[in-house]
Amino acid sequence: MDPDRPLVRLAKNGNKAAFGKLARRYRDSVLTLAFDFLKDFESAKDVAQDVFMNAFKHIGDFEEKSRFSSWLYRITVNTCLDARKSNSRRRKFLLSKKGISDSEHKIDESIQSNGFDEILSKELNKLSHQERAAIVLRYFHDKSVREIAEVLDCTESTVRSHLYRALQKLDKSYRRRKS
Amino acid sequence: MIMKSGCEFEQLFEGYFRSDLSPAEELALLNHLKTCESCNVQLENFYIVHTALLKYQRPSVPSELKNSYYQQVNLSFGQETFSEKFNLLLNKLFGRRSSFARALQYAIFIIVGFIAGWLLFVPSEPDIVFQNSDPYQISQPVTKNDLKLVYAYLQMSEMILLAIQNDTEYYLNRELAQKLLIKTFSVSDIAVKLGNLRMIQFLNRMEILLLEASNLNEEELDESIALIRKVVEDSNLLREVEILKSYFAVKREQFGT
Repeated sequence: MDPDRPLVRLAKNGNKAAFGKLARRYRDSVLTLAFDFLKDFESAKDVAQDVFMNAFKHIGDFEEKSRFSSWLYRITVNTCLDARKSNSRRRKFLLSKKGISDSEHKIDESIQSNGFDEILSKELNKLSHQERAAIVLRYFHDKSVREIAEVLDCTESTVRSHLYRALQKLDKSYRRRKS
Repeated sequence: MIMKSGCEFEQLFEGYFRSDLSPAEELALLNHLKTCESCNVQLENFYIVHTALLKYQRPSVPSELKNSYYQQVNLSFGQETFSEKFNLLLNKLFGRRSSFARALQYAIFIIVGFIAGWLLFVPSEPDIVFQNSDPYQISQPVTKNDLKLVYAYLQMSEMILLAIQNDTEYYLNRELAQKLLIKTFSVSDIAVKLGNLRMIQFLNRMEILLLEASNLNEEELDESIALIRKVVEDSNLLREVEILKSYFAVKREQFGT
């Protein structure tokens, strides 16, 4: 049984304090998950706040077929995808107008990397959204394949497939850089 | 596509590293690895990536940003409750713990709770001052509290007996008599435990007197009081109470009550 269910029920009836408890329970996970996608703490913070506002707004639509945490992570992953798209558009616009250097350089500098960590942080950005979500949830958030399937709204075998492709791409990049 | 270059068993590698496969899947993979050279190579390669991902160090959230984020969440949905703050404090102190560390923490909580409960709710051992070893006696121990109770009873009895003898107007009423009668029963138990015959005899007489006084009514007041006074005089109760008082005063001093 989902341990969040009693609070979810209260929140569905408009109890803001109950949702507050849920928000505080997951605020760290949501923030770090957003960072794992966006690689920028400020953007991650904005996204995390949006996630909770949207979740509270739409909690009535949550059908409780999956865990609340999975539903919340799904909102986070989707919000991150939207944020990345709009960031990408903005970056292209700025580059074309002012020739501002790509902010990803900054991101890479901020990450204390040593060898493979550096390759990983760059290569993770190159994965497809679904593959990246699978890797991030599996490796950085300790989620099971079943939970990831709930978040990504797909089957477990699809998740395995995403994980496999992601590992394969990371492996190739690693060996290419090594050689 | 990348998929085409790989063997279908490669999809099971990630689950295999985490011991997450079903027994059938694991058996099939192991059998396949016995014969497939490329899968053996790929398994090693994937394992390097898998390990690197597990060890991957993400930068920690700057504390200023974290605080402002927390404040925003609190502003939107209300402040933390006490229990939440307590849990956060625990997380801060112990961080993310392994299941063993968590079990250890709960064990410590249980032990501390048990000790606190013991100290709060389990009464301390009474200070035994006398233990009757005679097998034919009621052999419960007598405590310091028992001695206190007996002495208080004797003081109260003395007051009443003096009032009766001196014929003071307000010397006795039914309520006081009933209260003292109830105390007589518990003091009798202590006297039996002590095996003090003089005390037992005194209490028997007091019991008769107090029973009579408990049933006083307005119509027969004069008659009853005369009877009570006669009992007090004939049975030398005042002298008895003085002797017993001095005896128990010595005992109290002896045991430091």
